[in-house]
Amino acid sequence: MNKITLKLLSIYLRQILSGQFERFKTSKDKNNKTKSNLRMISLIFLIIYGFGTLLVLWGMISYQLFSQLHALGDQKLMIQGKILDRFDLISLSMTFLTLIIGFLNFVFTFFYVSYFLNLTPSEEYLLTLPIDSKTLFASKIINISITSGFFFMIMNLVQFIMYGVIENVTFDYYFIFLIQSVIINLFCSILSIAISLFFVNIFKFLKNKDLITYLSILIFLPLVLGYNIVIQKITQNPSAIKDIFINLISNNFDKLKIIQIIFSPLFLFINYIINTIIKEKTILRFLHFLIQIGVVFLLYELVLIIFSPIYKKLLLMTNVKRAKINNNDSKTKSYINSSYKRRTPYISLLRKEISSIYREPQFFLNGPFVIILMPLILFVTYYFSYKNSNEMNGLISLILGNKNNMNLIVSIAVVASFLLGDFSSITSTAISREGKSFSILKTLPIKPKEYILSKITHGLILTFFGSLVFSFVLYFILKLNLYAVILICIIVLISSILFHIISISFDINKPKLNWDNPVIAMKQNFNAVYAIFVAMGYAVGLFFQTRFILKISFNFLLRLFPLLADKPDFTLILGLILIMFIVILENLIFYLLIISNLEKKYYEIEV
Amino acid sequence: MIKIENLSKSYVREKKAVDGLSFEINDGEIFGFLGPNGAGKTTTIKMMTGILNPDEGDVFIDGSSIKREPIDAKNKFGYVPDNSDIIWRLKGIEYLNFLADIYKIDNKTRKDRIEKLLDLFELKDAIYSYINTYSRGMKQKLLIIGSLINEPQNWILDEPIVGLDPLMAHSLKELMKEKANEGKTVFFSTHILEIAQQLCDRVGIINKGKLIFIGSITELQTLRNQKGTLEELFLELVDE
Repeated sequence: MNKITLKLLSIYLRQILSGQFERFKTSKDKNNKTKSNLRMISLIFLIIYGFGTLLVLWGMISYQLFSQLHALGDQKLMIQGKILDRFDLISLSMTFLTLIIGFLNFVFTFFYVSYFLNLTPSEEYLLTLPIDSKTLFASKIINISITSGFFFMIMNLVQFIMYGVIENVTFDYYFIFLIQSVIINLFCSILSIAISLFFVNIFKFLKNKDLITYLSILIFLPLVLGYNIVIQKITQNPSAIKDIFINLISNNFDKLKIIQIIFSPLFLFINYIINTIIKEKTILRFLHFLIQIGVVFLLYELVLIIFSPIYKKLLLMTNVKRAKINNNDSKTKSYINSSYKRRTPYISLLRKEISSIYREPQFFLNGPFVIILMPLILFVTYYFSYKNSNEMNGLISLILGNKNNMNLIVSIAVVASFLLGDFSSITSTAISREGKSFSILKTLPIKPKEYILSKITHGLILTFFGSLVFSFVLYFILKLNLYAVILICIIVLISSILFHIISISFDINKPKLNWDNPVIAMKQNFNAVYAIFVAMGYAVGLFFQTRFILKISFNFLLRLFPLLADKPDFTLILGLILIMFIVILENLIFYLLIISNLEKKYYEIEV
Repeated sequence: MIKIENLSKSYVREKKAVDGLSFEINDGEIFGFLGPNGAGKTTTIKMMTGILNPDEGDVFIDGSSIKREPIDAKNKFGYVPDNSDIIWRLKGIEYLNFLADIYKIDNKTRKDRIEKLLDLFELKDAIYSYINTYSRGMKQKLLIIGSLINEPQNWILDEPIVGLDPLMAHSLKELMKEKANEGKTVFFSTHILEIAQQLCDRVGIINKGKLIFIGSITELQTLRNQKGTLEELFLELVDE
């Protein structure tokens, strides 16, 4: 690795980290310092929110598994005709878990590579400099391996730490665990880069970023759903985790053993760590350690030699779509003619907003797709968890059987429906998504109110879809009265106006308009984090407001008309109508109070 | 008519990017805005078009203040930015229709105007395609067409020749003359002094945020007591 490789690597990594951590440099200005601290807290929250759940669940699985295997003590088990002790089982389980992580890393890196084959203007400039392809590729391999494999390294580390805690290993093992996590994931990433380049070289269309984004959805969606199902099964019965793994090991015993042999320098180490707990063989341990590093280094050098020319060739291969210069066919002509249709500025702004978000895969993935994905995950989890048991149905009957619970159910329904529809960063990144083109908008005679309303309307359309999905749950599963379901839907929709206004006010105050990569506008945008905070707080407020008003209206109506006690649906509908009017009033007042301020802020945005 | 009144803007404290700029551009006039890199040209244009807010002063487009009556003022000009990056995923025709909707142009008028301009700039064949597939020159043509869709009384162009081939550059220059002959105001910034010399009735030279000269090229020659080209006069003036 030469100096230029390191220099390039530092440029690449800075590109990723700049705007993330650099802005947290301590400022002398007290006001800026507070802001910077706030941003840091938000970033930590963003990381925890994004990855925390996955890591916690992975840690839970590892902890349960290793503690149950630890409980085996000296007991031995017969698997596939072989007598295995707990350390053999731990070793095989570790191999299995590491394989899962390695596989995920492999798939993720595979798609990630295609993004790096599409150059930014500054990277294009690098191609004009006298840098050989090996140096260029070397810095890219390390950059991709670090950025794509970082999360999986942490996942691996979590698994090892859980093992270490349960087996009470000495401190030096944690250092080994850390190196081990890095090495295994570097191995998977480098292998994945090689295979990815091999495929892109054959199937040139795989260089297309948009196509890769959609392909990755197709691959990752079943993985996410599968993960949820597994987690659901495990959390239902955590004590069975050992048996699940022993079954998996029994069924895949030969394959796992072959994998251990093929990747012996990597996986023998796992075996070795475990065995050395009993037999302290320090020199051998060190030797294995060196072999592992050697294997990864060898792979790195091999990939570098074989794939550097291919990498350079793929970089130079243009896949930039050029405008079709053939619009003389009758279909195109009729389309163009029919497009000359006057619309109001508000509708036109809304159409632009919708086309921009649905045609940009990164925007679609981080926005509307979340609204589609969340109900899908909920449905699949529910289907696989309770399909063959009466547990859920029993629970539903129990809840619905008690009329006093109705108040609670409806309050939860309102909140769940709200979260389902609004838990995306659609409005909190609405201005940022315009990027540098916002300057064009500012020169046009657009009324800020119309512009802001078009953004809020788009948010509300998605809220409507989210609450519609939940309405099906309320009507078909919880068997709630149809009118009550419709009213809940309306209440959620109206309540969301306030939420969308707050969300857009974050973005209008500090939009992130300078970006080349659309991911920055949505995923690396603090306004999205602030909106999530607000959504959670708002959901709590909504819950208590609904409960409180329903309770008061129930009591009031029953005191006035005792006969209504036999008509709970009717009282519920009346209560919901009251809530509807209250939220209309709340949202209207809030809208009138804030809109002129938002209009002012629109003019203050500078690009 | 464009009237700039005591316009100032700072990006960092104690350093003005534009410092107390005041001048007027009359109807039927082609006005060239010249200056070295970082002189404050784009900042001035951005304040004129409402992209940036001035710290002090105001801009009046046919009497409408960009600060107090932004919608009115913006209805009275068309603008071609220096950066041709339109990142929205729209087709060319969708972009033009979007602009026509914003300017509230009826169906027939927009059809006539768009088709006439598409023919002039030879972009008709690509108008059904997505803007992100356009070359830089095609994007520049689209922006020029977009700036004329409302047939503005005032036409503001920031480095409009960049990205255009010689043929299109010629068409644009002819169009600028045509608009001025129709009594419209044409304001453009450029680094190409030959074009300014060729086209402009008057030029304004800005350096370090301050207007150091305004007038015709003949006036500049008289002022400097020599018959040099605009380039020679410009270099001398900026050097001082």
